[in-house]
Amino acid sequence: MELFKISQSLFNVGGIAFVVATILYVIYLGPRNRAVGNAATGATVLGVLCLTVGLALRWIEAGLHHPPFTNLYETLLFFAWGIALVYAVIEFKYKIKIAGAFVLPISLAAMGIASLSPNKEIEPLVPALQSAWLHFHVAVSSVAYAAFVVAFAFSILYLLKDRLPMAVFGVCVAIVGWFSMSVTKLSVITEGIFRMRQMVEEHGKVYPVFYPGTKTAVEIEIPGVGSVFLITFGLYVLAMILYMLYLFTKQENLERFSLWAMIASFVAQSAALLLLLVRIKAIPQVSMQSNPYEMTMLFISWGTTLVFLIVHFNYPKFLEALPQKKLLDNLSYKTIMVAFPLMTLVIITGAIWANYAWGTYWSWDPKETWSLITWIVYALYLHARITIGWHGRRTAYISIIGFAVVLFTFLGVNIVLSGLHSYASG
Amino acid sequence: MSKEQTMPAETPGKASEKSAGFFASLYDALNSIRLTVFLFIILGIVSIIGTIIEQGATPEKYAQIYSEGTIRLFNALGLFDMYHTPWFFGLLLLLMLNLIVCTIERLPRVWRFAKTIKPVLDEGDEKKHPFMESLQVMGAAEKVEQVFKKSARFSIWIVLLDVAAVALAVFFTMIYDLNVLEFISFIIIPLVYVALVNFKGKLVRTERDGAVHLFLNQWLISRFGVYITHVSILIIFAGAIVGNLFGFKGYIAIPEGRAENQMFVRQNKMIDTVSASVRDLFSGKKDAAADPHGRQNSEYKALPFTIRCDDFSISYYPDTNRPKDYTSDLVVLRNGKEEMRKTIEVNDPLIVDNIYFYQSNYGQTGRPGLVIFEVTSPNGDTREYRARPNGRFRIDGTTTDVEVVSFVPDFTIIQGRVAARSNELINPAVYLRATDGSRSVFTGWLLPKYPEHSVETGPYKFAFKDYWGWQYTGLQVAYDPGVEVVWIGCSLLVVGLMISFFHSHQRIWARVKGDHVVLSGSTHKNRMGFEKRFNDLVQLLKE
Repeated sequence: MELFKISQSLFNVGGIAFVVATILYVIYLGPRNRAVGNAATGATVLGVLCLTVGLALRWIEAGLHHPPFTNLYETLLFFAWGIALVYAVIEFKYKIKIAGAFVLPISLAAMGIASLSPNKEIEPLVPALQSAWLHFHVAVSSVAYAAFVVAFAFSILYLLKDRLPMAVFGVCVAIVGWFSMSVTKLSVITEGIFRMRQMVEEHGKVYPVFYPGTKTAVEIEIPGVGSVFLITFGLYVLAMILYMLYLFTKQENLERFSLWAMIASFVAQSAALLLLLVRIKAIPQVSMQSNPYEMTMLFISWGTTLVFLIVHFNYPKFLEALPQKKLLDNLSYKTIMVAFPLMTLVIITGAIWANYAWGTYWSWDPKETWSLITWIVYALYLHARITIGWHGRRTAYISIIGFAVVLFTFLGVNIVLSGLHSYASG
Repeated sequence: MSKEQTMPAETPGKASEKSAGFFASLYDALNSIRLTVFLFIILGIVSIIGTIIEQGATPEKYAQIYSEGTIRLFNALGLFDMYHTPWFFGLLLLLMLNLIVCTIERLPRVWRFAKTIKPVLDEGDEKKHPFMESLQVMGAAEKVEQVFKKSARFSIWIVLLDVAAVALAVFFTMIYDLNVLEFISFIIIPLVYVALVNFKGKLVRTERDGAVHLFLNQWLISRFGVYITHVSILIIFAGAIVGNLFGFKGYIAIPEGRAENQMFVRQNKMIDTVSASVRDLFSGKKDAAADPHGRQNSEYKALPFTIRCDDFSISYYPDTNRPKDYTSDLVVLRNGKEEMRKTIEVNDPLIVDNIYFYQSNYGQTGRPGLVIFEVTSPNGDTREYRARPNGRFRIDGTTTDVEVVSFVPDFTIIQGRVAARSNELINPAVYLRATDGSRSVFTGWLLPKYPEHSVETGPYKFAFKDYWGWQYTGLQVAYDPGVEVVWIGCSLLVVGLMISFFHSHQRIWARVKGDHVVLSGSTHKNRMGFEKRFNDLVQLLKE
């Protein structure tokens, strides 16, 4: 039990290190101070070390047959670890600190979802999960997904360096903004009410409350928050429309207006999140763990907007700081070249396990199918690049689509689609 | 930058020059990489649709979600069992044909290219290659040879990577008791990879026209990685087809103590029709699959042997209700004779005649089972007794009768009444009444998990062993003659991908005339990495 507690505090320290690293990397985007950059790298390395030791201790505590990636909480930590590690290696090798502001937040988000998870204890493995192939499968998948995430960050940087108009990024960020609200809290848009699941505490764990005999969770209204989020939603939609209009008409006034709309959405969302945090503290029946995914989505869209605004206000300096276009393009390509064989290994080891557990190596269950879709997207990338000779923007777009698919395969399938993998959502 | 290949330029439309017939243009279409991209996109989109529309659910469930018209449309398109429709199979087949034609077209070209690689750098040749350097070196020929040898040395990183891979394989094998086949595949893949990529090619030294030519030709195999990959995908696909045509998947439920040889076969109309016609083709007669009971096209199929389930049990992690393992004691009977027995568990199936029986689920038959006890008499004599709920048994050599009044699999008390919390043997409890003639010996609940709350059973010691014969074990049955082929394809796939993506075909030439050295280099991938290597080499020569 001692080891468990130590590992738990190491995860906390690692999480704080990632927060610090993210902030420093974002600051580094602005005045690119050398000391800030080094501090950011230091924080990243510290975070990786904490997670490495923490995961190792957790493994020792659970026993050798129970590696620390068998439930969602552990997998997310492992994923965060993988992203930071892959990034640190690339930063060390190519000396590109500027990508940190784009990679570390993703690692942090994974840590965030993990920390909101209600089940942090080491749980005994259900019989289906007691398989070497499965453990190998999960370990490789975290590294493969992490590499795809890093490739995504380089593709974004490539598009920035390639002077893809900021308005295009603006449209995307605005879409992420309103999308995060519409998928997570539809009631905000339809009724202007923000609801959260009611939780009860039992034996030191918190559980959601359900209406008797149903699978519908009891939700309570968080007063005042809904309307602020509704305003945020409206502003994001407005920003998106204005940016689109600008892209079609090229009227400079429109770009200014859309930037204002974006700043307004950011301010409104900050206010909404702040108010939400205050209310969650005040209302005892709800906690941050009530709706972990939705909270994370909201914070991700907030962080995306923040990074967008920082880049926007430092645009010329930022462009100057970015490494050569060719290098960014190549780094994205190289990362995918390493990740793709790993992804193949992920699918194969999953199939071997499925063959032991269910008697069939391929049953087209949603998780399997989505991992195949991921594979197809990156196979497409490689064929487009190597055989047709596409490069630059077009392959960057494929890499971004790939990232979206990876995210959905990793998390979306468990949340949105049901399937044989549903035990992993607990 | 985009095309780093130094391959001869492709000559598209080669086939159409000969004849512009239908087959020629079809061949051209299949030879196009654009078709590959198109198929990837289509397959991706279609697969997404298949995960949004739930596959193979019950009609009632679909009726809840979709309107009647939608259901009819989706059903006509096969969207409820999409991955088994002829059109989906057609898409996959098209991709395979595309892959075959592309390989047939391109592989010979790479082969020819590999054959024409010159080990000498003639005057002017260096201009054909992307990297070139001209410099003066003292004692050039020996120095260049020495530097080249140094450059061709084993990369410590690759060695470390390989050691790590093998260590990982050994580690997994040690802690998980992998079987031989698994161990081999875990070990073989990294080893084959090590063997292939560490084959670095030898240094070729040629003397011609008063000049010394040195040539380092490394990882030529990397150019073939893509074909290994493509062939392995074809192998996997072939294995899948074999499995679908000649294999079967079924389900069999056996109550404890019973034997069964009829299994329920999962229906798959498209594949069933195709496989039936293929079987006819091979066996030369119709209805080869008809079973002896005349139940043609029936959903049941007889196994060539019988399986008996002696026991099914669930073990739990200590002090929890979390199941640790599900196990079934199975016995294989052929012609009434016991052939083998095995206790299967999740992830560890029974294999008879290449037919796999997987622990899939379990349930209650609805019939009462037998409560099994071990009773120790005051003289230390231990014997096993069994009785149905409401049944009784007499302890041997005495006149004491024990009646099993009631049995609860998972004992709890709800509002002052005894109740079963679940149908699992988590906290079993038996209500016993022992009488000696007309004299009551003891009466009360026996709680094996909580002996301190159990009734005092006088001079006898009762140990609850099992409640037996009331559950069935559900076994997934699978016969897949293609599965080994699939695994071979998978291993090759990984090796092929690693070869093509982790390495590149690198060539470095040097022409030495006196003290004058002309270096030239070419790589087919990873230009950045090669640039560094080439520059390092130049630096070494300059020192």
